Amino acid sequence: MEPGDDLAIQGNAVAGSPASIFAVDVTAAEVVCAACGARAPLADEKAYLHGSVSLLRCERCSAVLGRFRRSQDAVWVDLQASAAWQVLLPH
Amino acid sequence: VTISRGFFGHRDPSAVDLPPGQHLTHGFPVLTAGPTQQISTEEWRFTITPEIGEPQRWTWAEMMALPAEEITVDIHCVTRWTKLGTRWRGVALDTFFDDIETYYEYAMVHSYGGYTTNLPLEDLLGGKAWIVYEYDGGPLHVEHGGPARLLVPHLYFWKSAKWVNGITMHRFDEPGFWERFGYHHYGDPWREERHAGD
Repeated sequence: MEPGDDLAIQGNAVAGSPASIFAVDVTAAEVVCAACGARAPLADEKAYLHGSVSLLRCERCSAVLGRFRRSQDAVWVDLQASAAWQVLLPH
Repeated sequence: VTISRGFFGHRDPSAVDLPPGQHLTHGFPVLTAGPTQQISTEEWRFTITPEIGEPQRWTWAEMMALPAEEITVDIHCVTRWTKLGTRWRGVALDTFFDDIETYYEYAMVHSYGGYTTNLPLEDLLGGKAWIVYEYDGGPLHVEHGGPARLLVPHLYFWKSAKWVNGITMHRFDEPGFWERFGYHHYGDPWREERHAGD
């Protein structure tokens, strides 16, 4: 993590949000950043919890890989700087 | 100049009229959606880019030479906390816009780190918004947006962009960082405009 990133937490902190939306466990997912091309396990990315929003940033360039928000009647998903998520399926 | 809006000294908190859905806090919570931006006053710049003519840019020293105001206001965060009687020092946006010619009605505020938020220009003028660099009598701490942030206390606090570095004028009300993610384009706490459709 960069200096000044003391409020970032482990990327797995956002795993519950996509899991509740896509019904898959993304804890072991790998995410490819569309901005810098870095590929990293979710746990190595940086997460920020901002009110009701879980926000994921690239561990290398800090681009916003994803934002997730669940309200009473809607789910918001924004994967603006995610080139890809690789989610391993259970055997 | 001392400006007070919605604050009249030590109020009885039980008698305070809060915006709907808000609760009082006595701390100053730090919310962030990204890395804290470490910007020195030497490198800090603030740029207004209108559709007419050249952008106007201020250094820190140039901002310090502008007339400053003491501002005491209540602030309201969309995450439901309200803090009463916060004290700031800064320069009114009216002063920065004195020599700016624009016919566009919408502003996009930019920050170091890439954050953006959109407001109608009329919400930045008329003594309603400032670039602030002191909080509670001391330099504005970096966690709260120092060396300088926008202060627009009549809207939810996500509009008061930390680490502000510029404003571009727009013809249309284009959404900023949170507004693109379903947050309300305007964000009036008294009308509880938290999310699109509120």
